[in-house]
Amino acid sequence: MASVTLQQMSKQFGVVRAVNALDIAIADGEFLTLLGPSGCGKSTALACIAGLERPSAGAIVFGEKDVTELAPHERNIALVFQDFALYPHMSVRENISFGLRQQRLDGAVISKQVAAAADMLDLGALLDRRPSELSGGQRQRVAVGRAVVRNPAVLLMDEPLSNLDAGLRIKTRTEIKRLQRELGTTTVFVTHDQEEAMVLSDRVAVMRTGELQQVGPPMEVYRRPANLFVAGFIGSPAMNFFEVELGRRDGRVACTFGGQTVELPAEAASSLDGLNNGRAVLGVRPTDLLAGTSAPLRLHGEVFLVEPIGPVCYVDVDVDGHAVKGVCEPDHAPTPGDRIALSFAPGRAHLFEPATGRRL
Amino acid sequence: MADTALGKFGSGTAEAAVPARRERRDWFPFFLSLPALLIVFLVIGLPLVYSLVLSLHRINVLTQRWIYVGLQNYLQILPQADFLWALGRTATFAVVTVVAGLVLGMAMALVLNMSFPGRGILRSVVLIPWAMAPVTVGVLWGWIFDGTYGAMNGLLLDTGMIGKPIHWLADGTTAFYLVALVYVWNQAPLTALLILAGLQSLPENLHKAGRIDGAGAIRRFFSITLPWLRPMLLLILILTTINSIMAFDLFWTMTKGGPGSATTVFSWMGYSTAFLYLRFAEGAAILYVLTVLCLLLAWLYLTLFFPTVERQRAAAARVDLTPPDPLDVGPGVAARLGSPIGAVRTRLMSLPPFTRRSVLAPRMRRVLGRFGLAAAVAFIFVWSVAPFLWLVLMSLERSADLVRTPPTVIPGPLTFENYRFVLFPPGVSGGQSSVEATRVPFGVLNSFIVAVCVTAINLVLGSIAGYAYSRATRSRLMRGTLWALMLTRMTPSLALILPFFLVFKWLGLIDTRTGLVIAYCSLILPLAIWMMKGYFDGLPPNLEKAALVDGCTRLQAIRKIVLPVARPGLVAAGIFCFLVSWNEFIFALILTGTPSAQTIPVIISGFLAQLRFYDYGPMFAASVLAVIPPVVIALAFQGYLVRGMLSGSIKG
Repeated sequence: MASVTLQQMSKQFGVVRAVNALDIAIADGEFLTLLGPSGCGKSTALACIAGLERPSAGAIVFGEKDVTELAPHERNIALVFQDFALYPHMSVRENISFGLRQQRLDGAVISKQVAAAADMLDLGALLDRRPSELSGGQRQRVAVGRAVVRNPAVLLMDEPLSNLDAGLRIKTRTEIKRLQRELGTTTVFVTHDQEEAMVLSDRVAVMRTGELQQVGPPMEVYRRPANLFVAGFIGSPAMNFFEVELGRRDGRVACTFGGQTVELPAEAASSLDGLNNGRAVLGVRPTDLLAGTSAPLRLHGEVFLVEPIGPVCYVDVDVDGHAVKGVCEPDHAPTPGDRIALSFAPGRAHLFEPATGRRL
Repeated sequence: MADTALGKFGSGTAEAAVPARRERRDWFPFFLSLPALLIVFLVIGLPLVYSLVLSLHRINVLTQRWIYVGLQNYLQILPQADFLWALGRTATFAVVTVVAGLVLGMAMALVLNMSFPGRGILRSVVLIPWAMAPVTVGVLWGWIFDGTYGAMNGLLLDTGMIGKPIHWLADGTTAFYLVALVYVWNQAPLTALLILAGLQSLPENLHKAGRIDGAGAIRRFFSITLPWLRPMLLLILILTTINSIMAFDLFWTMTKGGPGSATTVFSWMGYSTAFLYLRFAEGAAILYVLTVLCLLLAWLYLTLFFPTVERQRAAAARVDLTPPDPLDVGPGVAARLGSPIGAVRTRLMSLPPFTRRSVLAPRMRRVLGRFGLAAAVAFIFVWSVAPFLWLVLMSLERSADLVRTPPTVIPGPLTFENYRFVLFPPGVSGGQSSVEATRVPFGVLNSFIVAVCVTAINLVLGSIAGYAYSRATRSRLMRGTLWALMLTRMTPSLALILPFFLVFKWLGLIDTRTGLVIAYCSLILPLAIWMMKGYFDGLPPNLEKAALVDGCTRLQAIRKIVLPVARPGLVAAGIFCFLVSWNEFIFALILTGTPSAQTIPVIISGFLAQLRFYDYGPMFAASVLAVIPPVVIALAFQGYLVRGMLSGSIKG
């Protein structure tokens, strides 16, 4: 068991800077997810932690020990790959025990350890099969088994669920969470799926073009996104954004958007003074924009599309020429052409600085 | 956790305060490829330099004195009419055989890619002509077209189509095109194999989409299949062009450059100048011109082919690093979605009803198509198998029956006498025995030993270097050396023989199996590296990474994971090494002289040189013995070959 600290870690490939000065401290036993769109550097960062890539600058510390220059097998880590990377010429048992055999452990110890891992992952019946004879979900379990059998100090997972189909992914997600709780192993998980990140993690680190955007507990990242990118990336469907003009009115902040104005509480305006010509970006999640309720803030527009998804209905509303998405009760869904009001609570509004994207 | 908003948006952050770690150069891939590189340099690079030096001197064969003459050898040969004629013949031969081989190979591959009963067998059978050594092919076809006893005359006489035998190879033009035909017969299967591999990688849905768009089979071939095969065809084009320019074995066995000089191509000219007239320096000059021609072609090939691959790679690797702008809502969407249903459709024209262009009813076309396929299958089968079976048949006839006049294709009584004769030679003293027949068992043994050694050495070196080249694509050093390796693959082997001959003589390696093994590495090692690189390119790199995480060193990861997983690729490359080595003729002809090292193609050529009628039966028996191992291997591992080709070639 160990904590993991990344200190100003950078990785450069030629002129491409894949990871730029990453600073994250991961506590012992914590489940941290690196989240971001493809090409954001999250897998490169993981490869650096694993020792498969050598950072161009900065350091990686496990516990008290600087491991930056150590080879993968000297770090006591395990890695689950996206494509599982099971050795095709070995049986499941040989796959799982390969790392143990590399360390020349005693045969009896190995079989005891493999049995424990197989039991944990329900692989007992599959031990003598080849990877080619397994289903996708079974392969995934073998890959996890191969990782946990060595009881690593740090468990690394590189999009381990993305090769599974939707139903299995949700089931396996739960399994991974349970397993990690039971083992208490420090885990770094890489994914581009924000739902996975939200469900699994103790903390989420959002990355973009090699830069860390925000790190925090899932709900905090969701509730208080640090910038426009995080706000737009986290949450589905994506947040609505409006370019608004800010003004003061009776100690409150007035956001003018097209011909409509909503007034936010004064707390939102703490840093308003430094803002040039009073422009900002207002963000509201579709799930916070409710049709047919009496929340204090309202936007008016004409419905042009209704998308029922079961528990709720999304309504797409033309607000002064901008498409805005909100939700409504399926039983009281409007029809296209209706003029409706979408209302939201003041606490659910996010204001960002247009030039830097920073949260106000 | 308090470290929430780090506020690193955009590029405005200060540069990292920590000092950068010094970039460590990763020499590991280079060390892996070093042994192979060294050997290639020793067996190709040095001989080429030696040959160049040689071509700038005049050598007295008796006194062994070298006199520097500068470019005089070149100036002497270049304006000669003979030289220019040979150049023209080489070009004609290359164009004819490449075009014919490509058309025939494409046709065979298209047929073999369809589904019909017995497809698996036919796929194996087409490989027979290619698996046969060119020397055996020359012996077989030379005999078929023999002016006095040949099967072609026999067939035409038997059926009454001609009154007296035709001397096929006595006419210059006929002889030239007959050699070309036989060359195509021998080489087309390789083209077919490569194209078949390309066809199998063609996504099926492309053709389905084409059919829905109303494209017929011919239209789909030109609009879908051919563009898909383009990189593969370019590769085939260049490889076969260079092979044709270097063609030698068939000329040796069938025409010896004659009649007159009608079939004196460049390679024969170089060979005869150097080794028949012993004018080493002039021969070296001729062969060096050939080398330069081949390297020019190779350069053309590499610049034509490599950039496209690089560009494709770059395009595929280019990841869009700019995430979608959250503010970009697409202002048109609202307006678009608000428009009435079907509004856009009214702006599209509706297509006129489909008119059938073919005059034939669909049912008729299907029947005709099936007949066509059956005819094509039958043709390919006969084309590939009949000459081989004829060889087997001749080996079972008595020598006296082979030289009947007038010739006939009706066989005489069959006997295993010829096989007994070559496998258990009764000794030189025994009446009608011949020296050559007693050498056959040694020849088979030598061929086998040499081929096994060559295969083992090249598989080991080639797979390790191939792995290094496959994984170290970022290193400029590795890319450069790979380029150089591919260039050496295009060196005509004929140009290397002269330096090998002279250096081996000096080293005492003439007429040894060791010498042959060394020489064959020059032919095979670049090919082995290239094939294995292609195979490793198709293996997920995560396998070795998993092994590294599981506690392997990099060498252990190769030994325990990569090589076992790459077994199919190793088998395919091994087959190629074995076949090339087993069938090779000209190196063995010049570098060996006695049964202690002569390989079976050389022994067979020896029969031909003696031209004694009672040796014809044993000669064909020896020929059959020479083709059995490669044919059996090709038939047994046909599936591996197609897969090996696919991974080895199409990915560039």
